[in-house]
Amino acid sequence: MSGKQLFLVPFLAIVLYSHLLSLQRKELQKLYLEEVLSIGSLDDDALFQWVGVVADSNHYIYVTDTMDYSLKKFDVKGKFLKKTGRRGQGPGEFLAPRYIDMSEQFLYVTDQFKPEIQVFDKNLNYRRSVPLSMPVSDLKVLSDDEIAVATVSMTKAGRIFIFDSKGKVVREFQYADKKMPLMMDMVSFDIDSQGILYLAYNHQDKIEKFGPEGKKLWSKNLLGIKKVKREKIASIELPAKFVYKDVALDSSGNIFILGGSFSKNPSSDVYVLSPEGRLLTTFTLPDASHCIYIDNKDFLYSRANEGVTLKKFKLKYIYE
Amino acid sequence: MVLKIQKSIKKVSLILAVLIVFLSLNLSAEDNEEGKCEEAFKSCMINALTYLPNFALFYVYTAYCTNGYIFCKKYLER
Repeated sequence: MSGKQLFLVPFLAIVLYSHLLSLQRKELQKLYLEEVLSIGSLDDDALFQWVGVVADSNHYIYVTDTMDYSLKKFDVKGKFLKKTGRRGQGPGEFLAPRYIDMSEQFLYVTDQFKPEIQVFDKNLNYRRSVPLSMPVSDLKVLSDDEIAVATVSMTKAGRIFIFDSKGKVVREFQYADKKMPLMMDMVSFDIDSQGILYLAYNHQDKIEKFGPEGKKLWSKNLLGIKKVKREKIASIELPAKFVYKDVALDSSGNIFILGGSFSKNPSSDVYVLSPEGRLLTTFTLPDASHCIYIDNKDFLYSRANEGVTLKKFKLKYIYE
Repeated sequence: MVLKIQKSIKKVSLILAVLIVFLSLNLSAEDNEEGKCEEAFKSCMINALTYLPNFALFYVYTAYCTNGYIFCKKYLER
């Protein structure tokens, strides 16, 4: 090999590597939604008032329908497959089904008025219950042996509890520095596969990221809100409005935050942050929603028609 | 006689205490225009009072009422 070639080869390698790096650094510029599915309408009884949604790796969709006291299963085209549950306090029955998440094999469903998480298989057969000693304000299934729960505490600073399959607290993580006035440290949260925790405070302008060992990595505020008004109801002071309603992650680790009453489009604006906490873009859902869910194929699910309709969208990314 | 009077005083005091708690829940006519979530919360809190003799149960019930109120606001509020 001549001297020139000896120089050219590493030089070209460096140029090519830099080019590849610059491609990877392309940032998300804009994001829009392409509706791919709509389940339920005012003209049918597919859904009455859905609350929670989760999808499995085969694209089956599972929904808690609170006004129908049931858990429902739909296929990838939105065809109704099965329903389970009725009003009641017994196993497999519901008083007010709420949040849902799943492991590889099982579905985990909370109920507003039952101190337990009910476990179903993917055919919606009731399997067992996990007793809980506290009300659930958000839920994430880490495995069949670990369920993460955010809750209401009247006395302790904000924390997330990890329960085992028997309902025993195996870990608890305190994310708030100190006890705040009632409800002010309530959060919606998501946890990625590395155990990294993302919090969106419901009544504060605060979004936070914590490492798996519990160290706070960053804290952001997007809306410039200093204080949320509290009002007295039944002699108890409670926050009047929501700042953020939900948080979800896409497959790239981007963080999606559903805004509340203070957003330009209340309960419809979604803020997209990079894993480092930088605001990348904002988009607006076609209808107000109480939650957003993103499955592992980057489809986003949200509410329409006051809970009668479940919408599924393909996330379309535009990079600069 | 003295015992009878003491029992009456105790009874009246208990009634007054419950009355004060009820009044402090602001269940006046003007509240008819408040939202569904607020109505449901007040109704839940009235039910919670039945657990008052057992403060631990009352505390847990109150937490459920509060959680329910917050969920209601999250779902219905824009």
